[in-house]
Amino acid sequence: MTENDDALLVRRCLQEDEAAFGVLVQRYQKAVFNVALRMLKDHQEAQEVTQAVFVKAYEKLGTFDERFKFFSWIYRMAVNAALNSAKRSRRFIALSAERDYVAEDFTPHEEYEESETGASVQRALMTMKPDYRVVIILKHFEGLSYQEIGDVLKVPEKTVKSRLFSARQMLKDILLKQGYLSND
Amino acid sequence: MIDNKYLELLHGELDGANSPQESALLTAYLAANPEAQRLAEELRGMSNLLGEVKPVTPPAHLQYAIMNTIARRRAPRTAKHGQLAAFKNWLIEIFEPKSAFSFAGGLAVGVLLFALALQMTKDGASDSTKLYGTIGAPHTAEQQTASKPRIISHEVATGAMNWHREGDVLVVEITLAAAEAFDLIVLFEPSGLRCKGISVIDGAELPDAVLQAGRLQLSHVGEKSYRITFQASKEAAPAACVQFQRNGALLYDEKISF
Repeated sequence: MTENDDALLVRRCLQEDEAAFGVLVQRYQKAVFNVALRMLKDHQEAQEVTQAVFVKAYEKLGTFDERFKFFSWIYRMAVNAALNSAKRSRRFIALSAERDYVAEDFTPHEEYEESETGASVQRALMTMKPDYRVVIILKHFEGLSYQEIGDVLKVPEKTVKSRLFSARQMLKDILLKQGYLSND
Repeated sequence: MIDNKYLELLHGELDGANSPQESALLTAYLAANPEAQRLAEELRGMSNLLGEVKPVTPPAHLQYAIMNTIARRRAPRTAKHGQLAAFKNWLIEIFEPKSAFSFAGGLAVGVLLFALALQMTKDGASDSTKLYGTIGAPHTAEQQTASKPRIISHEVATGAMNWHREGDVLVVEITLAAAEAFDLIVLFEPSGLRCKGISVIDGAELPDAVLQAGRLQLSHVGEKSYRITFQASKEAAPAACVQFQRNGALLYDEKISF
C-alpha cells in the first residue's frame, strides 16, 4: 500500500534517513512537476517550483499529520507554490542592460516535447482563472477523486464538484471557440 | 435548460462516479433531451481531448538538484556536530600514552608534506595558464554535466554553489547566508556565456540586479538560493568568476570553469 508506505518513509525521514526522502521525491516528483507545469506553462519555472516544494516538504516534515495522505500534502504544497509563483511572475528580472541580454526570447526548457493537442489544451487552460484551472489539472491530468481534490484544496467535496463542473463548461467553450473541439 | 440534477449526473458519468441506476436515469433523460445530449457529447469530446495530453517527464537532474539542496542545508548542522565529536575523540586518543609515539610520528610526516605542498604551490603559481580554486566537472560529455557542490565558508557569507549543463544551457546555483549585505558579482566572458536571467529558487523576493556585458551584480543579504541561467557557446570553453564585494573592496573570488 503506497499510503502506508508513504507514512513509513516519512517516519524514516524524521529519523534522519535521507534516502527515504529520496524515495518520496522519486515517487512524486513527476506529479508535482506536472501540476506546476500545467499551472504555469513554463518548464523552467515548474522545475523551480518542484525543487522548492520538496525542499520545503523536507523542512516541514515534522509538521506532517499522519492522519492525512502524504500525496494530498505534497499536492497542496505544489498547488500553493505554483499559485504563488504565478502571482509573483518575476521569474526573470528585467536586466538593465543591452536588449541582447534580456531573457524574453530564451525558451530552451520550454521546448519540451508537447503534442499539438497538449499545446492547444495548455493554451486554453492558461486563459482560465487558477481556481478553475487547478481542478481540471487535478481531475483530468492527475486522476484525483472529488474527495482527494477537496483534501488538496481544503474545500468541501460539494465545492469541488461545483467548481469542476463550471471549469469544464468554461474549458469546453474555450476549446470550441478556438476550434480544437467540434460541436457537430 | 438542463436540470441541475441531470447536470450533476452528466458530470458524474464523465468521472465514472454514477451508480448503474443513475447511469440508466441519465441515459433515459438524454434520449428525451437533445440539448442535454449535445452537452454530453461536447463534454465527452473535451474529456477525451484532455486524456490525450500526456504527462511530461521532469529532467533527469531535478531529483539530484532537490537532494543536493537538502544535503547542503543539512550540511552545516551535521558537520558542526560531527566535527565537534571527532575533535573530542581525537583529543582523548592522542593524550593516551600508547598513542603518543604514533601522534608524534604523524605530526612530523604532516609537517613534511605541508612544506612540500607549499613549495609546489609556489612553483605552480608562476604558471598563469593554470586556474586555481576551480570547480571541476566529473566528466565533460556535452549533453549533461554537473559539478559537485562547492562549499563556501567565508566570514562574509557561507553557503554552496554548483552548476549543471544540458546542451548549451548552463545553470549555476548559488546558496548564500549572510548577516550583512554585500555585492554578489558574477563575471563571465560574453563571447563564451550569454546570461539569460536570474531567479530565486526558494521563492524569496529577488533583489534588483544589474547586468552589464560580462557582469551580473546584485546586493545579497540573508539566506537565498539563486539560479543563474546562461546560454553557453559551443566553441569557447566557458568560465566565470564569483565575487563578493563590499564598498568596492574584493572580499571573495572564486573561479568556475565549466
